[in-house]
Formats: sequence, C-alpha cells, structure tokens
Amino acid sequence: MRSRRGLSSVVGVVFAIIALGTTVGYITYSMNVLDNYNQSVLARNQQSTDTINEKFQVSSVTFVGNKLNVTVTNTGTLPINFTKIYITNSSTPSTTAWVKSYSLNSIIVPPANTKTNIGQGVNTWLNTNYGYNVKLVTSRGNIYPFFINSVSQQPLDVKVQTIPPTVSNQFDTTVLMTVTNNATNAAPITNLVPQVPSPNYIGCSPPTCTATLVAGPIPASYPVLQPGETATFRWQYTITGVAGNQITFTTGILNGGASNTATANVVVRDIVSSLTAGSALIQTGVGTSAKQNNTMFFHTETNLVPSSKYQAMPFYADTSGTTTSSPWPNIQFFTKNATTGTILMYSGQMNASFRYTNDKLPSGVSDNSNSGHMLHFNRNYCQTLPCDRPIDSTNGNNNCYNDVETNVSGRPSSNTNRPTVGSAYGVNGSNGANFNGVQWYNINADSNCNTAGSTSFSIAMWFKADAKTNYDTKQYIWRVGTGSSEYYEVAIGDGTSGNHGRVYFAFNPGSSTITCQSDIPAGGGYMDGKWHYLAAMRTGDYACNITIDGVSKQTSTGSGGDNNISPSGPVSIGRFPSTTGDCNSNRCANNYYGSLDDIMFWNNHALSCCSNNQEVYKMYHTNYGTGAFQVGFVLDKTDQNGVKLANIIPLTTKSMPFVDQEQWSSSTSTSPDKNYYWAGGNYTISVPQITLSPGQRLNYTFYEVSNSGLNAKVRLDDKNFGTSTGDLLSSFIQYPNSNATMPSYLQYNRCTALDLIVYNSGPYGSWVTYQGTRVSFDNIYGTDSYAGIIHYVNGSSLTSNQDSIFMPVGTTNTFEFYPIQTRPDQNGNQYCGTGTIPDGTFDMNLFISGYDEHGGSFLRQVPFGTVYVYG
Amino acid sequence: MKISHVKRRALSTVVTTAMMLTAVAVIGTGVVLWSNSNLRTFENNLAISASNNTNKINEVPLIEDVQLDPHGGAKDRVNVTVSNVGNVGFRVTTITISDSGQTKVNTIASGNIPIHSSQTFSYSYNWQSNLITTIQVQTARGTVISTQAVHP
Repeated sequence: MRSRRGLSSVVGVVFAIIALGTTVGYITYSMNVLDNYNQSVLARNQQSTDTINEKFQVSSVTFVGNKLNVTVTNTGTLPINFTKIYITNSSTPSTTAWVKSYSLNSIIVPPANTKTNIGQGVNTWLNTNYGYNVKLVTSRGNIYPFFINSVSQQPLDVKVQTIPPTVSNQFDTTVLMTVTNNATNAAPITNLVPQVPSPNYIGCSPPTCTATLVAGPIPASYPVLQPGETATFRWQYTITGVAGNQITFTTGILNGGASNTATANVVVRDIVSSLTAGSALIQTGVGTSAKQNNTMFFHTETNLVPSSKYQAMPFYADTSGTTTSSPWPNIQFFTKNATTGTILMYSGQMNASFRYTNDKLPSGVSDNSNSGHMLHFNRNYCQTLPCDRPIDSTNGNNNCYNDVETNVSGRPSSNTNRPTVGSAYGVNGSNGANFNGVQWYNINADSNCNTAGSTSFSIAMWFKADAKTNYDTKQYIWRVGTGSSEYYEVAIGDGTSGNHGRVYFAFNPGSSTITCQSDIPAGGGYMDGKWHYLAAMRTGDYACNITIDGVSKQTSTGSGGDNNISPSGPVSIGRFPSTTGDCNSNRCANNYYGSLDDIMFWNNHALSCCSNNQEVYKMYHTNYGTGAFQVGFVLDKTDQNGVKLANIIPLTTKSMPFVDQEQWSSSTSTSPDKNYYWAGGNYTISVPQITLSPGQRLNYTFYEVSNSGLNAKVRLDDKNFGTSTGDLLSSFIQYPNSNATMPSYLQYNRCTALDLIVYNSGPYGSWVTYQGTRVSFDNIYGTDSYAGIIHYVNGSSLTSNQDSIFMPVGTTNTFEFYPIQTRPDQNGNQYCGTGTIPDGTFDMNLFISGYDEHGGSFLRQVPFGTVYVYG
Repeated sequence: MKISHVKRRALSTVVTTAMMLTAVAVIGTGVVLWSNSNLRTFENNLAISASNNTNKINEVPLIEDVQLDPHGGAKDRVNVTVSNVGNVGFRVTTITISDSGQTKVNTIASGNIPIHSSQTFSYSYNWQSNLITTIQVQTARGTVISTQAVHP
C-alpha cells in the first residue's frame, strides 16, 4: 500500500510540475510581452513630448541672391533637425502657384542657437517682388509655416483711418493703417510691406483737388509680424480742394489677398471756427507749454530740482533747446514731488524717446577737409535710390552731395536697374544696397570729391559678395575710368578659379598699373556671403595698400612716370563704366553680385593702417547700425531732496541706433532737416507699478555706457520740435497710465497777477477778444473751481469795447488776468482776497477767443495741467 | 477460505491500480497537452496582438503638405505629401478627399513609405475656393490621420 501511494504521488507531482511550469512560463512570457509593449508606449510618449517641446522662431527672412535666407533661433531645449522646406509662389495663385519642396540636408540647430542662411543651399530662383508661402519641416514632424512678402491666402485684420478725417485746404492728414496678424494658421508674416495708398477722388478730380504724399510709409516694412501682433504704417498727405471734396484712400499689404485691403476717407471743408484753425495761438505757458498726458518732457530748467539736475514734467519743451556735449553725458531728471495724494504709476512699458545725433566719424579719423563721399543708405526716401551726402560736417560742401543725389548723369533710368536698398542688405542692422548682377549706380565725377588726381585717396566700405562657386568675369565694385589706363578701381575675382574671391585694388596713372590684392581664404575667398570691411588706400604716387577686416593684406609699389590719374566718366558702383545705359538682360558683364554698405571715399587722404589707434582699425570697429552706442538707465525713487529711497530699475544697458547728423531733407538741399538731424531713438523698458507718496520723486538717470567710436549728443527741451504735423517731439519719456497726472513744476503765486506766455505760430497775425478769453482752475483734490478774465496783452488792457493789440506771427505775448476768483470779475485789487483762489493743486486751462488778419475766427482751449497755487 | 479470499482481493487491487494509473496518465497527459496547446495559442495571439499594437504605436504618419493645385485654373488636382516621422515603415492604403459636396476615396497600391521618407500622392479632384477640403490618410495598420485645407 505504501509503494502504490508513492507512485501516484510521483505521477501527480509530475503533472503538477508540468502544469505549474507551463503556467509560470506563459505568465513570464506575457509579462515580457507587456513590458515590451509598455516600453513602446513610453518611447512613443517621449517622442510626442519631444515633438511638443521642439520650439523655434523664425527671426528674419530675406532674399539673398534670389534665394531665401531664413534665420531660425532654437528657443527650446532640444536640438532641431530641419529636413525640408516648402516654397509656394502665392503671387499669382490662379495660374502659376507652383509649390516645391526641397531637402535641407539635415540643418541641425542646437538649443539656444541661431542658424542663418537656411534656404541658401536650395537650388531655386525666387522673384523678390513675389509673395511666397514657406513651410519648414523638422525631423520630428513639426511644420512651421510663414509668409514672405505675401499674405494672399490669409485674410488679415486690416484697418485704415485718416487723422484728421476732415481737413481744410492745404492741410495735412495722416493715413494710418494697422495690420493685425490674425491668420488662422498662426503663421508669422515676414517682410510685411504696405501698399502705397491709392487716392480716389469723389466730387472733384486733380488738379482741382489733390492728395500729395509728403512722407511714408513709416516704417517701410515690418521684418516679422508674429501671430496676434499688430503693425502700424502711416503716410502723410497734403490735401487740397474745396469744401465737400472727398478723397478715398485704399491701401493694404503688398501681395495681399483681395480681402486684405481697407479704405478711409478724408473730406475737405472750410473751417470757420475751429480748435485747429490755421490762425492759431499755440505753445502757451507759465514759462512752459501745454500739458501732455502720460508723457513727461525733459526740461533743462534746474529750479526746484535737487542737486541742480533737470526737470521732468508733463509739459512740452519750452526753451530753444540745449545740446549736451559729446559723448552723451550723465543726465538726471527729477519729477516734481506731489504735495498731497498718492500717485500710482501702473506697470507696463516705459519708452524714453531721445532726440540725438551721432558724430559722423570716430575721433581721430580724418574728415579729409570735407572732400569725399559717405553713403549709408539710411534715408527714408532712399528705399529705391542710393543717396547720401558729402563727408563734411559743416553742411557746406553740397557739390559732393549733389554728385550722388541730383543731376547724376548716366545713372540707371529705372529703379529696376538701381540697387535695392533696405535693412536686409546692410551691415549691423542698418540699410544697405544690394546689387543683383544687373543693378548699378553712378556718382558724378567731381574734382573736389572723387577724382584721384596725383594725390593720395582711400576707398572703404562693408561688402558682402554673394557666395558663388565661380564666375566667368571680374566683378567691379567701384570703378572710375573707361579705358585700360587712367583709372582706379576695386573689384573681386577675375573669372579664373585661381583668383576666385580675391579682392583687388588697382590704379593706373597712365604709365603703369599698381595693384594690391587680398588673400583668398578657404571657402570661396571673400565671395563667401559674409560681411567684410574693405579699406584700400593709394599711399603714394605708385604705392597702395589693401586691408580687409582691419588687416593689411598687401602693400605694393610700382614704378615712376606720370603720377596723375585723370579718368574720364563718372564713378560707377557695381559695374564697369558703360556708355550703353542699362543692361536689361539677366546678367551684365562684370556687374557685382552682393551688398554694399557704409561706402566712403576720402579724396585726398590715405587712411593710416593698421594698429589699434589708427584709422582703418577704428573704421573697422565702428558701428553705423543699430548698436552705434550703448545707453545705461537707472530709475530711483527719492525723497523731495533727491535722497534715494529705493531703486526701481537697476542699471540696464541698451543699444541705440546710429543717427547721421548729415542726413538731408528732401525738400531742402542746403540745410539739414531737424527731424533727420536729431532723429534719435527709443529706449524701451518694462517698469513695475510705482507708488509715489506725497514728497516723493522719481529720478531718471541716462548716460552713455560705451560706443563703437561714434559719440552721441542729445538735444533737450527744444520747443521747435513738434510744431507741425508729423514733426518729432523734443526728448521725452512716456510712461504707463497713472491714476493722476504727474505733478508739474508750474507754480502760481496767487497774491500776484497771473501772466501766461502765448506764442503765435501763425500763419496769420491775430487778436484776442475780451469777451471770450479766460483762464480756469479746477481743484484736483476738491470740488471748488475758479477762473479769471483777461486783463492785459503785452500791457495793453482789454475791455468789453476794446480787443487786444495785434499779435504778429512769431511773436511771444504775455496775457495777464484779473484775480482768479469763484465768480470772475474785473476787481483788480483783490489778489489773495476773499473769494479768490486758495492754496492747492489745480488743473489749469486757458480758453482763447480771437480772430485773424484774414477774417477767420478761432476758439482754442489750451490745457496747462497741474499747477501748484500758493500765496 | 480466508487465504483464497486474500488472493482475489490482491489481484483486483493490482488491476484496479494499474487501470487507475493508466487512466490518470492518459487523462493527465491529455489535459497537459490540451492546456499546452491552448497556452501556445494564447501566446501566439498575444505575440501577434502585441506586435501589431507596438508597430501601430511606433507608426507616425504625417500629412506634411496639401496643395490644392490650381492646375492652370482648372482647380482639378490635389497633391498630398505624406511623410514618415515614426520608427517603423508603413503603407498608405487609402487617401480620402472630401468636402461638403463630394467624397472621393483613392485606393493606393504602392504606398510604402520607409522611415524618414515622404511620398507625394496626386489625385484629380474638383476642389472649390473658400470651401474646406478634408484629406484623410489611412495606413495598412489602421492608423487614420486627417487634415483640412482651403484655397481663398
């Protein structure tokens, strides 16, 4: 019995082991399979997370050599591999509308890095005037669409308005267009260019009524408009016509779709009585001018300011202006402390707008007795023409200016053949000129400006020659002289592979040619699509020196004989001088492919070279673009004595753009326009909410931290700014909204007569009437109000039977008032008496009633803002 | 009597034991074989299911571009570019193009797209301006992706 029980147990155990083993094996296998599946799910999730975390921005898109030049910044934490680019021509969608995709050969951008020249390796040719829809595709499957020159397939929010919508004959109106990128595909728009408004005349036709473009578009384009962002463009027009004439402006976006346009009207009317009539008294004040909300102008008065620093208050400039010395010094402005009440300045963007100008050359670099040329291509109206000015600093040598700007013989007859000017083609973010192998330009030959003669001379410029594999000809950048002798020139390459990308400087006085040539760095020499600084000098009768990027590449000396270079014909830029006019084929022989900027010519001077304190070195390190110099800013809260209570914004440094002191007005070729001369720039920064208790001030400190060689000087408190439509304002600071107007430095001793200074800016001489001219005071912290009746104008009394004396255009006049009372009357002996205005803080307004010498009447309210009354 | 009775009982016990053992062996073996077979089937099914689902997870098709091609003004062509950004190759079997007024199903014979590759499919289709066109791509593993396009 024992042995039988043992056998059955063994059999049972065997089966049990088999069953258990099989089950355990199945479960183990299942677990492994599930684990593998789980790993796949995890890997897929990681891949999805990586795809989501792949972030980048297209920071700019330009055309270089008729190819896209896309700059992308990786703003995420993962490297990005761009694998493909789609380019769709959207300019003529109904007919051509081709779409092409190109492999990018794995363009990898590490995190926090920027990649440029994306699209330059694509084998295509794009028309720079066409619009394109572009898509970048990454290896993780992200697709980033954007538009260049084109919004034809996305309706955008475009609005246009005219300001003002009704004008008198020969008055200006501003056409303002806002474009909001609300495209449903959330794609940015690059190179957003507005269409020039097209006027449509209703009820009249030119020349009975006209709309003449005075300025614009400002700005000429927006480089990138991200989703949700708004771009604003404006044009200024002078309107002529008679009452009832209407002009409709239709504008939109270049290469935009049919829905991407909008219209606005302006109506001409006769203004019999208006706040903005042509005969107007403006710029009034108690030693200063009218109030500007949320804006404080920098004044140069130092009274009531701690440590004799400057005033900052919400009133227009009121002096003839002060120019700080160059370099821009440390300048401090204090706001007036409030006496009662708490002022809350809300958080937001603060913008300091400075009127400043830069030196034209670094210290120690010769201006060559004002003989030569300097071409920066920065003028607004120079979008299609190269234009600039002489190298002089005195505005006196207009000949060299005219050589470039006007009366230029033999220059291209159409814009197509003139270089394209824009910021996409300039160095350091400024405008430059691009030559596409067809385009060129001439400067008149002028013995005072550009004729080499028997003296030394220098040619300097930034150049960026297109990266090409080879060319069959020499490309001329600068050439004077049409023959094989009597010439001087700068060129790149000679058509042979051995000299591909080599830069040449040569001149021939008649007997022999003296040549200096550069080296040929690997990768196409200097025909590499990158910016380089060239300075080439004739250092002697038969000697030259060529430098690139501040380094001398070759000096050369020739033999004697005639030393006078006497070429014929103009200076040709971008091609060999030709008498055959424009070249309308795809390629002109010997024309230049690439960009040029900051072209300068010294007519009788060889730049010194090349140690740190010599001219070539200084010019190479000078920034004529957006980073000409750096300004530091500190904002402190202080007590009324200027003792710092807290720092609100620590030292923050920002780059400021170059302002050319010699930029000329298109309307006057003999004197600089102040708006260009003092174009200046903005300093924008975020500020937190600020609470100012009674007795507290804000202390704004600005100073130049460093510069690239071009000192800056700033213009302050100049009342000549802002006197006409479209005019710049004197230097000011614009702050976010506040719960109350910032205190002003205006004070009125109520125990004396109130005198207001009134300036007649014309165009007509005027009188003011006793019946309608008043001043009013509204208590900011109370409900009581007061007013005063006009008493004298320049000491001559006004009565109900007698108006003011005549006030000619351009004269400053003093308005004196009877005592300021709750019920104004002519009681002139009650200053500080019963019923007169008490101590306190008031909002003051002047109301003027008058008529001009041409019979027009006017009514005008002039707000003065906060005035502290004491006595 | 007592002895012969013992002998009979011993024989029957042996026979019975042998029969029991045989029955147990046969039935046990049958049960083991049957359960093994079942488990093998389950295992195979599990392996196939897991493989299919794993591949489907790793299959990431992307409609990279849709071009409502004006085609010289005829507006009768749609080009669809599908790329593979996943870890396994896949085969596109159908591309369905539709709008509010029409649906066109295009069956694809050779839609294999290896990893990191793309393929453009071009079909005649009378698309309408300002009308949303839906493009749906289906793979052999059943993955379905879709996008929409419109031409102003």
